[in-house]
Amino acid sequence: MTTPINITLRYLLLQDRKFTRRIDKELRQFHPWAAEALEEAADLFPNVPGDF
Amino acid sequence: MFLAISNKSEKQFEDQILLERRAHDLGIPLNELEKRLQSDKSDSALASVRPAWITYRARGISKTLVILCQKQFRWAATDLMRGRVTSALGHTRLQIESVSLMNLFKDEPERAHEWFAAQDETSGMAFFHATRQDLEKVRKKLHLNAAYKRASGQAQHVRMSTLLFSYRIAERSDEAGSRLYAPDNEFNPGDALRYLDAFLAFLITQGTVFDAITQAFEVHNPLWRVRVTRFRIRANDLVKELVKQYPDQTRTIRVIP
Repeated sequence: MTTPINITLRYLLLQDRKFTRRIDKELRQFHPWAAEALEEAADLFPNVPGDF
Repeated sequence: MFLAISNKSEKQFEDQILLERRAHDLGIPLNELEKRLQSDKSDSALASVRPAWITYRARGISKTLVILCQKQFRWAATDLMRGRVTSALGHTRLQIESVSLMNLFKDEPERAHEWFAAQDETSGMAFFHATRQDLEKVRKKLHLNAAYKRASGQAQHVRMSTLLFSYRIAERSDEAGSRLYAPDNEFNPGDALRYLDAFLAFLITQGTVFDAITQAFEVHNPLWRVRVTRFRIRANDLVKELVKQYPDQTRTIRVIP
């Protein structure tokens, strides 16, 4: 059954995707590295237990 | 890609060898020795290895905090990419708490055991009150107190600053009439500067978080240090770029750091 809360949830999930693309574009326009920075940060986290 | 940051420290090797020898002498496996150390604090047969076990286990508990810190990063990063700046700040605050605890446990390993044992509301609150001031000192030492306060103020309390970050109260009209609401998304395409400011503040805080992990585990791997330093320089360069691209606006708003 499609309830109003489900409709809102679907709308929000669609909006998230739309904004993620828009934010990625904005970051690339600002500076190419800005769009890569989060992935680079993720790479810097140590691996547990392998890195200890 | 994962980067091996450290082998076990010399101290950790020493502690492990001491514990393994004692377990061997008693004719029991290491995990059995650890169970005995945990369950009976007055066991005189284990008194000689108890200090080593306390630091050895504290380090293990801190590794759990690294795993939590990774998850808090993932949630913050994905929320940022969805335009949920306030939510990302909340996760950043938890990251700062995680790395502060790791550093507290390095200096006071008994605290790690207390933290691990605090598994209900009452003991959790008791631990919070007992360590509150010490953790603030640790945050200051790690240069993370300002970021922590900013995240607390904006993401953990209902304040005007939180509402202001939504940029606007919008009006929505449909067949049911018109109503006011705070938009879920905190990225305003017409005003990218404020979003970029928050994004760069997050990157700079991450650089400091990596430093804090390095200090908690006494990492000496030069390659890791080079990569973290390079990340921090690039994040700082982006702040300069922001000022360059928005010269007028950055005179009137606070730009991180």
